[in-house]
Amino acid sequence: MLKDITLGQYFPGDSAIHRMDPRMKLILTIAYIVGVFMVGNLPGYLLSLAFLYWVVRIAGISFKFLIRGVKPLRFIILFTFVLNLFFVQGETPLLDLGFWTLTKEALQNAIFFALRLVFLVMGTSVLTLTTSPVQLTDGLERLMRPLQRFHFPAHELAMMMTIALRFIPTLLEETDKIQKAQMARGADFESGNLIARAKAMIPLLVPLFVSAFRRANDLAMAMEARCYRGGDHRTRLRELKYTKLDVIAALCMAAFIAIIVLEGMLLG
Amino acid sequence: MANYEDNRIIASSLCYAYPDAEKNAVENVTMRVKKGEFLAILGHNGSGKSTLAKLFNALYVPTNGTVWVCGLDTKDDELVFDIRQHAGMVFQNPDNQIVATVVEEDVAFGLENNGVAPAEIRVRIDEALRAVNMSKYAKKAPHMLSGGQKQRVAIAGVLAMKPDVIILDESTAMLDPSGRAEVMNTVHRLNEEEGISVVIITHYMSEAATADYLIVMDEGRIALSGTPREVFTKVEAVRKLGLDVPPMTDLAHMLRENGLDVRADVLTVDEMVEEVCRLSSNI
Repeated sequence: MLKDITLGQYFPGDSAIHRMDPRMKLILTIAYIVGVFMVGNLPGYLLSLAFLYWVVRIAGISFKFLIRGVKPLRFIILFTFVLNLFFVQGETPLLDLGFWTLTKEALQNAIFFALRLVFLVMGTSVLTLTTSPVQLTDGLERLMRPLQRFHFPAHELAMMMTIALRFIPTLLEETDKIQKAQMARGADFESGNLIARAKAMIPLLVPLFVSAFRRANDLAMAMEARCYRGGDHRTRLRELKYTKLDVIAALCMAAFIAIIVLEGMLLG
Repeated sequence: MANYEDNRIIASSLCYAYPDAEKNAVENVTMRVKKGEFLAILGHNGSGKSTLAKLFNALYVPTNGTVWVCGLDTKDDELVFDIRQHAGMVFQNPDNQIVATVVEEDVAFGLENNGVAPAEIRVRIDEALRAVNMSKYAKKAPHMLSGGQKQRVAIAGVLAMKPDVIILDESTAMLDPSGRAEVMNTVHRLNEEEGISVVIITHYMSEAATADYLIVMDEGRIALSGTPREVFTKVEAVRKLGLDVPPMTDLAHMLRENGLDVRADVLTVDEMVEEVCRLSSNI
């Protein structure tokens, strides 16, 4: 289950999507999410899905991999779905249970919210799968640079993100190892109710945290030894430059948003 | 201070105590690392050998005494980054010293910190990766590599900064035998071909035996020093420090104790074979 999280795992490649400027990819990802949140009907969602599928095909990633990335978030999505089902006020009743009436509006809202979450995760996954975290943080840092004038720690935030992303696979591997070690000692992670299972996580989380702190300490020293001194005067291996590719991508995204908006206006 | 062209690192009456510690972790150490030298520092856990390594890189500042790295005093705050460029450091845990998620971006990390121009970074990382035979892994994710490969990436990261000394702080301790051989071959080659001085901190006898000069640490002091041959010949003294001698030296020692006239400074199997053949031809 732990191996399934795709968020934050980079898949090296050389597709058009891979070669885009990370700043443009960030902006377009946000644009895509905003676009998806404006969608209010089923054809719109099909369009969004088709667009995403097209991008994923260009990037050369398996779409199944993207779907697998949503799986760990199924509880959050389910929770949102149920919450919307119960708390959205509607007028057209579908099912009357006496104490609670399921309305058409509530069901529609619930489905749409769940779909939005799914698209949000898949959209950002495309970003993180095709952009190396260093590039991603490069892009973030560049985009946030104007804020530095107001003492916003853009470089520090970007660095923190890089390191967090870098250590996800390492910590996952370690979690797996600790889990197996504890299971060999008779720990039971599978059975019992929710509380029992949460309690069973303690022997997993404590060693994981201890080791994460040790790693942080080691890494800080290694970074210092390699002359790390914060963001000032730092250069980059890859200078960010917008190319024709980015313009084309921006135009594609603009077309997508325009179609979404038009479609929304036409079909209500 | 003495001519630093010939001496990459000079330590003079060096002492270091960790904050709140009663005892010095490094006590009155005076030594030097010559240009192009391959120096090994040997010692059991807690002997102060790792602390010593961190003093060479200005990660720690001496409590007493002085360290000069290529003529630069590590106590001078302004010189810290120059020193770290001259004396590169490779650590023990391969996972905990790789910052970036792509091999070549990690190699570039030190150069980026020093504000090297992008075009120059490109040239230098290609050179560095070639020097450690990792060119074909340039675009790979570090967590997909083996331990030995990760350490070679770390060495490339240091190498890209064009250092005069590379310090390996138990960099082979977490590797399997083949990974260890990979790393040792790489540093030996860099030492011989590029003339980079190497300091290896280790507790493996076999690694220490390949050095030009050997320092054995105990309780923060230098207990023994000399060429590996000189040091290992003192079998009893080495044993007393809780360390082993190389198996062949041990065998030679035992043979001598039993009255056979073999040389005491045998290090390798080949030398032992030679000695035994010499003995048998005499009989």
